[in-house]
Amino acid sequence: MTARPAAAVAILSSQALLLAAFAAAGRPPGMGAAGACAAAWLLVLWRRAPGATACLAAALGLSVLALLAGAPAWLPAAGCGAALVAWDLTGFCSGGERCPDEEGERALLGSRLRALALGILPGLALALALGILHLRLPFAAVLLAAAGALLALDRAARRWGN
Amino acid sequence: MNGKAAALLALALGLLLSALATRSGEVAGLALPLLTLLAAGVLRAPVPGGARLRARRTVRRDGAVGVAVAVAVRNEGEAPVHLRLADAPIGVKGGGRIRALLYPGAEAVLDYTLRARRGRFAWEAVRAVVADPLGLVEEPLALPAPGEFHLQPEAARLRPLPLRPGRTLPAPGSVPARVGGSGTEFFGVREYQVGDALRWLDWHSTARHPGRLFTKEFEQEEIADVGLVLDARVSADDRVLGESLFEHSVRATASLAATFLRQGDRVSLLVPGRAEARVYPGAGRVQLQRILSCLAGARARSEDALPDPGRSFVRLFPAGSILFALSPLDTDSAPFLLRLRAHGRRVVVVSPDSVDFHARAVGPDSLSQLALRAARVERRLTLLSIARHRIPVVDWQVHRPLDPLLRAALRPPRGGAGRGNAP
Repeated sequence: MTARPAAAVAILSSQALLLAAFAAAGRPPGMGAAGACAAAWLLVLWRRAPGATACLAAALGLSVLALLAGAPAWLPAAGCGAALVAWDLTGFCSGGERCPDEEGERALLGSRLRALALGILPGLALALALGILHLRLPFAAVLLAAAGALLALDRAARRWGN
Repeated sequence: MNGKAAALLALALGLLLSALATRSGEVAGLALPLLTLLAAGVLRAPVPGGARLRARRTVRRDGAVGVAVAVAVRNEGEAPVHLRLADAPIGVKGGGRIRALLYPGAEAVLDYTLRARRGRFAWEAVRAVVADPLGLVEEPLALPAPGEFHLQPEAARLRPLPLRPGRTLPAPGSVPARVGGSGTEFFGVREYQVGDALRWLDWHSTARHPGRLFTKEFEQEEIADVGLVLDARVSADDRVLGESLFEHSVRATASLAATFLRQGDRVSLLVPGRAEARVYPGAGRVQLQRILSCLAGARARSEDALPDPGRSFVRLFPAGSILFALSPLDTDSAPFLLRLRAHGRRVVVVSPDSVDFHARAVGPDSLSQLALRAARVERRLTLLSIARHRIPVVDWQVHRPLDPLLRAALRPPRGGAGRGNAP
């Protein structure tokens, strides 16, 4: 499978999960919004147009709305993970560079998918585990931990940049 | 950190702010995949200065298309490298870009073709970006791979052109030297001298003068100094329907240089202007390469008049040489051409017809046709004003072959001026 079909599958999966989340919450307008987001994202992928980040932002927003609407937590979380994969693969397809040969392109895509799995699955598992286990952490503690993680990441990235 | 990582960070922050606003731990949990993705990118980021890459460049002419460039980049390190490569000549847009996953010892080749008819191209380094597998943390590199290529203009093969310069050089060539000696063309008859070949005795003259012997003489053929002057003012670079008049002039100059050098003559070149280019007189294939390389870089410049060539001009075009000036001509060209004619030089102007060149793009309406007629009259007057100075002008419609016109312009007048006379 090449990158574009993989990206299309990821887009459709993410929006299907969100659609299912809104269906479970009984919110037809949310289902329509997920469908529209899928269509827009597929258009961005097809035309190699900019806008993948906006599509990801929309998908994340829909995930938040689905959660707030009372959908089971695993559906928006999985949709969010699939949206991340779709976002990355859309960027992978729309870049100006191409591999000189098909074999190289496949190797690169394989490496990218492995890296995505390694990067997203732990976070997704953690998010789902938090949802299932219902850990009784004070909200302020969760927020502090997340903000600390963000700050650490930012500092690490800046140090790398320098 | 690049834009992609920044977007990810911003979205994660947005989710956390949403969580704060809605006081929902599940919404905060949605930020976790984003954060772990970022963390994965940072953890697998390339070590600064750790990638050991070597680039090698090959450049060659790609038929009539342009220049084919291939840059091979080899991973000499011990870890796989996610790589993006971009390459283009200095000051040229375009070029080529690839991405690759390079395992240790593996090589990726970036090849692309620059579409051009001629030009000078130079490269210094290949732009490389080493990144983590997700492309979140990048390290830009410049891999040295210098190169230079002169895409020379095509030189058409013209038929030999008969030259009659004011002076020839004492070396065997194809230009009649107006001096008796060994050659192929009959030059005259003179009294026999000891050592003359008996087979060249002229029996008719000998029979008319009893007791005296006469021998035939042939005209020596030597080489000439030929100068080429290419008008590179922007007015010489008319462009119609994607075609350039200047390119026709450049190709004609290249063809003339190749023809005269093939005939054995010494050829020099001047491209006057602010970015003046000169090739001093020389002969042979090396000189042809010099001239073609010089023409490869010739560009039309925005200048109004042809500049004064100055005193050093004598070394470029020796006295008695014959000069070919390629210019569409305008009313200001005469002083420059007269200056060229100093020191006994002979000047022939090859003038690409800019009006005929434009005619293809002129509409059929009466106003356009009237303008075209006016331009033709103006050009005719310009050519006449040059011809009034006894400078022959070859009016060249660029889509027609040049050599018949040149041969006609260079043909000596009837009666064989300069030939020796029989006693």
